[in-house]
Amino acid sequence: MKGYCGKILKVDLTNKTCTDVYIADEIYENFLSGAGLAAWWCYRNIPAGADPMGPENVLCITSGLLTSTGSCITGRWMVVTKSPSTGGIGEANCGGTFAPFIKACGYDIIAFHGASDTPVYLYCDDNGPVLKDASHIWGQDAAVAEKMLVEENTVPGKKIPQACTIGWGGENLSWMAGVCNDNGRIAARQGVGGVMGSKKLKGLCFAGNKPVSGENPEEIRRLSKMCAKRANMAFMPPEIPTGLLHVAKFLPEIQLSPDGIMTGVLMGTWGTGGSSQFAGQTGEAPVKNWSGSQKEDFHVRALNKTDGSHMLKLQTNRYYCYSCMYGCGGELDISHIKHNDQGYSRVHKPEYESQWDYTGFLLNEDNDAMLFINEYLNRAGMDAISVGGTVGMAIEAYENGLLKESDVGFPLHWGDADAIIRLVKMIVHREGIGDVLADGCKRAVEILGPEFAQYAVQGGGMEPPMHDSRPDPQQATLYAIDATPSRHTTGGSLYYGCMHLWKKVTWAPPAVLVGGKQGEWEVSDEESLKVLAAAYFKRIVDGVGGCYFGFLLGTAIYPIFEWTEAATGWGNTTDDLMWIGRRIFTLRHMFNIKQGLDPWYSRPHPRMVGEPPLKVGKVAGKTVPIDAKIMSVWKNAGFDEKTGIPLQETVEALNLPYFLDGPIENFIKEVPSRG
Amino acid sequence: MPIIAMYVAQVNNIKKLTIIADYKYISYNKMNIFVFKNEEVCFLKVEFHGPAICDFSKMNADGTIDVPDGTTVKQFIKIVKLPIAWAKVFPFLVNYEKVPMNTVLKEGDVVSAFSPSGGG
Repeated sequence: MKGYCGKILKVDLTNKTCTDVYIADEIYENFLSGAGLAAWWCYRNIPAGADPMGPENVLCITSGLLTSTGSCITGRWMVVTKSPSTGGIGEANCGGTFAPFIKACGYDIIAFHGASDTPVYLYCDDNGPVLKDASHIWGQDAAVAEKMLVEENTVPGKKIPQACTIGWGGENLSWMAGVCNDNGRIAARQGVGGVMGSKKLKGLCFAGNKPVSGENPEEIRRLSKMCAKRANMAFMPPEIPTGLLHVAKFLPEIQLSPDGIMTGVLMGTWGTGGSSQFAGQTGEAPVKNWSGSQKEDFHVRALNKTDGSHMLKLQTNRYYCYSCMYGCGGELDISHIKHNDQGYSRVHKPEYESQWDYTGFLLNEDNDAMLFINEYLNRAGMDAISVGGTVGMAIEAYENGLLKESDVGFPLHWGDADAIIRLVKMIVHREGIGDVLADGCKRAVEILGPEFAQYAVQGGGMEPPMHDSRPDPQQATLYAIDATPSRHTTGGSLYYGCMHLWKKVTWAPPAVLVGGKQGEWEVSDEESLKVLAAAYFKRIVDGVGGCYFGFLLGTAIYPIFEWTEAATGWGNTTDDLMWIGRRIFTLRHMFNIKQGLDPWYSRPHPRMVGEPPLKVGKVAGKTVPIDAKIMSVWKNAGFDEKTGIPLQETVEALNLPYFLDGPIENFIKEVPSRG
Repeated sequence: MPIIAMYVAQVNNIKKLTIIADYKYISYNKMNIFVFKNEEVCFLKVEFHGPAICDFSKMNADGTIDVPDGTTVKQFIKIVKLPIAWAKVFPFLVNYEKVPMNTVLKEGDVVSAFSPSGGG
């Protein structure tokens, strides 16, 4: 076995049938598994112009090629579909514990076609897949639904199942809904949960036991031992006071190549939220819906009140995703916090995105409100990033007189925790103004009017994460040119510096290590190749099920290329694998063009690139020459520089016509599933 | 005994230097001068990743710093002007291992000091 199962489960929800689709090895050799294979399947099966919320859309739930082979930090699962928010390829990525259970049922992807007329869920074990009635679970939040699915399918003495579900957000067809697993880990972005809700699919529950392995398990194990040993070296006791992070305000603004291994220190000690104070002070975190600065709008006292270290006081235990030794997650006891009218007790620790989105981004100093909102959105199965960005738009519109109290139902001001909580609940349940906001800020502008567009900070229909792109031109460019726009997990200059790709990839330029920050604003082939190296590498990582925090360790410590070769035995060099990454990258752009998108659709909102630049704060005066940057990347990717359409010679060099235009029967064999 | 000090500022490659002097390399003092004894001295390239508070003025474009053969970890910390307390409180690794301060660095070693960074 080469790490992958060789099969997709095709579930026709309209006719309630299940089919095992055997996939030719050459598809895996050219698109890997995971999100790469899913992109190929979506291209082949979603017709041009398909309604993302209609039965022609296909929803793929997948794990990666390396999952369950013995590699470390390779337990991510992904949801791939046509996104209602962007109109292009939608992809969301999640940790947790569900990924190995997909492969243990003998499938690389579960692909849902059509739509059911009644609520259903998919159960699968060693006897095969079966669709079951979910009407008794419909209406439950994501965590309760998951618990019910697991309980009703648990057989004493047998493997306890794992499940993923949608919450109220998905059931309400929100374009900001995601798919949840393990009581609050969520594949959140791109409206994938809304697509799942449109198919009346409440969840999946798996309990298979099929073994998975790579071709060379001893080599995989050797690499994993090296990775684990090195990653664990960067441990710091949590007693070190986070006041030391105050040094951030004295740091000169230079971008170095930190050793990625040190990202593990923060992750393992505080989780991703532990860096929020640092992010606020260095200008990495956008403030006041991208219109303000920490210096003027969110004083250091407020930063101290809402710093991620406060969460540690409530932490009961660390949480580890499947195959990860970092344990950047954690569980908190929030039973005694204010605002907790739902009686939540044990919950997942908020990630940095939620942590900043509901504090500094909205000028809220009430930490308890952030903790409550995070859990509420986890239960609802909704994307905290997009909801926060949409709330930011609404508050700014209210403060500037475009929204009135009669529109909202109550006053809506920056930093008003009670109002923010109330509005979040209305968005989740599509009540009042919440119904207008429930599909994100771009859709809200279409309903409310173009005068709201100035406050609707989005790129390609996606609200950007809490990573300011103005001090990071590489990140700004990646927000724009990735086929799933406004996504911080593809890279940025800080992250490129951590990855150390240039040590393994012959054409990847090295990060500028000292005093070279100014060069990042230049438009050059070198800067564009860094962007493309990160983008192609991300395709590999998502094809094998790797984690963003894994690749931040750096290629010397997180041997993703070597693991993939050990699992498959394909004889690929690192450059060969990056060529596969380039193929998947190009395919995703072709999907968007097939669906009618103009490649310029994902140009970021002016605020994201400093048009005009802020006057105060760490990002003052910074504007990214985004149009020139985009065109330079397209040129280096082998696309038309002006239109962003892949050139014919690029498409042919990547052999894409063979895989995309020929009869699909050349690559698949369908057999009715057992079950 | 006469002492001849070598001012190290422009070294880019491994070089062998014959110095007529009485003291071997024992310190990297405030005047940024290595002090050598009467023996041949090689320079090694050591890769360094550290926080922005360090002195990176002697870093090469490829992320390495040239240090005399025989430099210990403790001496290296002084070369890059990392506060010793930082190295003791926060993780500080050589080739991704914790090592004693008197460990002698070798050609190609990777030295990593904790750098706070945001994200997630």
